Amino acid sequence: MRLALTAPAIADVALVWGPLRPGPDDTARWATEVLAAELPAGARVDVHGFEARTTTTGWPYDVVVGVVVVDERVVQARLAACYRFLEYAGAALAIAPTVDVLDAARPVLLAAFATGRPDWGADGTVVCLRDLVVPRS
Amino acid sequence: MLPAVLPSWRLERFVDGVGLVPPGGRTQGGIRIRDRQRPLKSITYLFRDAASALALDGLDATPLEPLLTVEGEYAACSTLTGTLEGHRTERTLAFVLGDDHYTRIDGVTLVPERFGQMRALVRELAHLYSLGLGLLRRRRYLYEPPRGWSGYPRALTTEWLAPGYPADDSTLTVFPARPMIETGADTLDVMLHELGWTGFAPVDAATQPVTTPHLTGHVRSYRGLRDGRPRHVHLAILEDGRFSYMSRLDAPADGITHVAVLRDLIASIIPLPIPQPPERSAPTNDAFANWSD
Repeated sequence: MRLALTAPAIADVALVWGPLRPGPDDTARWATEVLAAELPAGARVDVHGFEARTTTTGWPYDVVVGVVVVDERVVQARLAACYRFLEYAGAALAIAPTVDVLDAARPVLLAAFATGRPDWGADGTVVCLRDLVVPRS
Repeated sequence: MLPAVLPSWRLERFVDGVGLVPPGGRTQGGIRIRDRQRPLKSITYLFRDAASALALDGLDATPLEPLLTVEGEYAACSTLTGTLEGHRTERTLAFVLGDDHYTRIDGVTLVPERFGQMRALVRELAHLYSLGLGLLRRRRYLYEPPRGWSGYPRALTTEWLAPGYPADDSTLTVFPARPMIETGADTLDVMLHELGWTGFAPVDAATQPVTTPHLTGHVRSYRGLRDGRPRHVHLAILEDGRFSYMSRLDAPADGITHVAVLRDLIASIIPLPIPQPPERSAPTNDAFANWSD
């Protein structure tokens, strides 16, 4: 089970997303954890904003924005989307080297986030018996 | 089955199963059986993962052959060829599929004269292999998934979400087949996992008989309210004399067009297989005994 996104390549911005996980009890805390994923050594993340949205088909998600700070200097700007898909959750994280780069890419990123949807059968998850009997193309 | 081969093949035990070594020793090849493997994945992934782990150069594979075991369980088999350390090698892999685990049977030989025999042995082992799950249990069954709908697995149940879900919050739920004889525990299980209609208040209902190419039954259609909004629930229950096959469409009033999707799905249901006796009375005796020169 994975998050599926339709996203173009964006210059100087890394956009990553991955497998679904059980839905968190505290979605705000989880969103902050997503934004703070794989921080550089000695870094902290400052959260600057939090916004509830829905995808084009109506799945709820939160957009959280912030910066990564090392020695009181901003070294990265980050924008994350944290989705809730029934009992599961999925996240996408965009990382830019500066706030300006992230701001320029924000419309494209938000458009990509709006396409978020669950791919329940990703990674070989058995959705129905047909998956066990009929090879996938 | 396994006792029949022990007189001529050596049985080795492993933490996760057994190995069978032919007369002449490992240089002749062997068969490895790994029981109760998890996680269960789609058959495409199981073979892909297994094949990539074999590290064969110039890998080629026969198309997956679907099999049924004597217990009526689904299985699949394929033969992989390639070279290993300069030697032409052939491996035949079979997977016997349970509800949430599988058994992997892996036969290998470096002796080209034995390739055909190894293929036959692994295939027969898979056909005869016993998972011991019992026939009368809740099981998934085959049907044509609704095109464009997104399948969300909940254990043996699959909840198909409408293409526009959740804006169109229509769901088509396919429950596991159930033995016709139900116990009190089964009734509780249905209440907990299948008919949790909390919040749905039926206003009226109508029943229509249904006959498909393999099954007969009926569709009961309910109109009602959930959270003050009109909902339609259509419950299809079909039978083959051994199992009942239940599926449910739950849609808003304007989702009534999805009834055709439910109708197509139940028409495509293939009843669970009936266990078959072995193809031959004692196939493994001959096959294994002939291995020895």
